[in-house]
Amino acid sequence: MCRPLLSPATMAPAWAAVRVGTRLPLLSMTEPSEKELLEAAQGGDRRAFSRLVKKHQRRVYACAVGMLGDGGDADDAVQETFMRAWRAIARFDGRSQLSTWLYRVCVNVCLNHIRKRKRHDAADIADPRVPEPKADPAQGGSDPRRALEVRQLQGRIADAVEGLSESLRTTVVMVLIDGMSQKDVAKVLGCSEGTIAWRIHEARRRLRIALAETKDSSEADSAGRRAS
Amino acid sequence: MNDEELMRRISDALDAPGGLEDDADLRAALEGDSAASLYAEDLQSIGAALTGLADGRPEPDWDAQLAKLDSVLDGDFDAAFDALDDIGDPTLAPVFSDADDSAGLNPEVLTPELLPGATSAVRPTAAAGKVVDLASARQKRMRLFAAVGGLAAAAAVGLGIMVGLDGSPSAPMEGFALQEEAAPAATAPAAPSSEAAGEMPEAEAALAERFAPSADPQPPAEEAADYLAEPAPAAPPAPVEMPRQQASRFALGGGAGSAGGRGIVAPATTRSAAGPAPGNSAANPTRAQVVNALNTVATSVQRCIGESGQMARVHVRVNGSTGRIESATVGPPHTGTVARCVVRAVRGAEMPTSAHPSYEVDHVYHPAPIAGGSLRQNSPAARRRMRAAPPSRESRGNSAELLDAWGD
Repeated sequence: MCRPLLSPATMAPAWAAVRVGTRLPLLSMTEPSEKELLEAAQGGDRRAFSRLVKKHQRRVYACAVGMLGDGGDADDAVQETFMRAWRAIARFDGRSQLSTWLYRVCVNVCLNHIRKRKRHDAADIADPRVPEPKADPAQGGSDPRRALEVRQLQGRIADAVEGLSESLRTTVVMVLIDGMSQKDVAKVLGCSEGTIAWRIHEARRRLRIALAETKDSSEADSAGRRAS
Repeated sequence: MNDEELMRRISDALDAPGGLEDDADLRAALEGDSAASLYAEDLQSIGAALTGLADGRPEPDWDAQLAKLDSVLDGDFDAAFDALDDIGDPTLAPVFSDADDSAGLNPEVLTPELLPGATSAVRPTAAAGKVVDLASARQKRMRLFAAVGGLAAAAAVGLGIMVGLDGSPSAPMEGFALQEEAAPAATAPAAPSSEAAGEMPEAEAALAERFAPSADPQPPAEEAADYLAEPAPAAPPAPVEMPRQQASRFALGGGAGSAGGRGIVAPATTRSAAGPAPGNSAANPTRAQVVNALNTVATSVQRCIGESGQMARVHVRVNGSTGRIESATVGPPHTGTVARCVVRAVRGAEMPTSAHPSYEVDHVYHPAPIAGGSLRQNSPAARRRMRAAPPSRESRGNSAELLDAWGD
C-alpha cells in the first residue's frame, strides 16, 4: 500500500507557499476547491489533507456515531478513517465523490469496530445518538413528560437500529438517519439502488417489530410493578 | 396487491420526494385497509424518530479532533498505522457478514466463512434466509407417509417426489430449487427472510395477525414448511414454488406461521408471491432448462473442486429479464480459493430468462468421476431430464463473454 510522501516541504500550507510539486494556485486569495485540495493531498500535502478532513469530518462522524453508537468509539473510528484515507489517498481515482470514498472507508472501519467489540449495552439516556432535549414543542421540550417519552422512543429506536444486521443497520444509518440518497448509498456500499430500497423496506419492518416488542415488554414491566 | 407488495410500496412511497401524500393510489388503498394504514403510520413515526436522532446529536470538539489527527499524521504515522487492525483495503465496498447481505444484488462473492450460520449441515443459502430446506421437509413427509399409508404410498413418494434426494439426507433435491421473487420492482432484490427462521416473536405474530388477511388463517409452522417444500399441484414440471394463496397467508410481518426451523427460513415474511408462480407462465423457464444451463459449466466447476473430491452446493440468483447471474454462493465445505473458483465458473452459466424479475436456484455439482471410478454426476432423474432437454448451443456458448461482463 503506497502512501503519500511526507517531507518538511509538504508541511507548509500549499496555497500560500512556493514549493516544488504543488498544484494549488500560488498565493491564492480564494479558498481552494476540493479538487485542488485533493490533488495537493495526493501529492503529499498534509495541510491540504487537513482541509479536506475539516470539510468532511462532520458527515464521517455522523456515519460513525450512527453505526457505533458510542461516542468514544465513533471518535476513534473517525480518526482511523482519516488515517486510512491518508494512507490510501494517492489511490483515489476521482471516479466517485471524495465523500463517497470516505464514507466507504468509514463503513469498513466501523464494521471492524462492531465485529471486534461485544454487543453494545442497550441504548440509554447517555447514548450519544439520542439527542439532547430541545426547547421545541415538537420535541416535547415544553412538557417534561413528553420530552421524556420522545427521548425514550429515540433510545429504543437507537437500540433497535443496533439490533439490526450489519447490512441493514449500515443502510438505515446512511439513508434514514444521515439522510443520504439511496443512489449515493448504493455507490458507497457497492450495490444496486434496488438492494438499498429493499434493505430499507426490510429494516423498517424489523424496526417496527423490535419497537413493538420493547413496548410490550416495558408495558409488562410497568404492569408488574403496579401489581406488586 | 398482496400484503408484501403493499408493505414494499408503502416503504417506497415514504422514500419518494412527495411521500405517501403524492401516491394517490396508495392512499386509496390505505383508506380501505386499517391494518395497512396503521403500518404506514408506524413507519412514518419510526422515520421521524430516526431523523430526530440526527437532528440533535451532540457533536465533538471538531478542532480538538483535527488537532489530534494532525498530531498523528505529523508524528510517527507509520507506527500508528501499523497499530491499526488489518481490515484489508478499506476503499473497497464493504462486505457484510450477515445473511441479509446475500439477499441483495451485491456481486461480492459470499463464501461460507462469511455466513456465520453456515455449517456443513446447513446450506449457506439457508443461513442467508432464502431457501427452503427441501431435504428435511421431504424427510418429514416421507415419515408421515410411511406411518399412514405404508409401502405403497412410500413407493409413490419415492418414485415421484423423492427423485432428487439422491440418497443423502442432507442433499437437496438434485441440488435444485427455484424460488419466487418477492420484490415486485424490477430492480429490487429478493426479500430474504426474517433473521431467525424458527423464531417468530410473539409481538411480530400479533402485528402480523393484525395486518394479515383474517379469512385465511396462518397454517402451523410445520404445515407451512410442507407447503413450501412441495411443488404446486397445478404446475408439476415446475420446481419448488409457493401457491399464491399460500403466499398471501404468509404475508406481512412474517405471519404467525413462519416459525419453522428445520432449515425453513421465514418464507412468510418476505417471500410471498409477487405474481403468478413460476412455472405457471409460459415465459418462465422449465426446471430442465435451468438445470441444463447450470450444467453447461459443470466441467469448469469440477475443475475447481477436483482436488477436494467433494460436491459443491451453489445457490445462484438470476436476473429474470437478462438471465444474468446476479450472485452466487457456494456452500460448505468449500471455502476460499475453491469457493471463488466455483463462483466464477458458475457465473459463466447463461441462464434462461423468466417473467419474474429474478429467481433463485440451488444446484449441486458433483466431482468429476475418477478415471475408472463410479462417481456419478447426476441422478437418474437428472439424466432423464438432460436427455429430454439437452442444453442448446446458445446456452453453452457465451461463458467467456459473461465473465468479461462481470469483470472477473
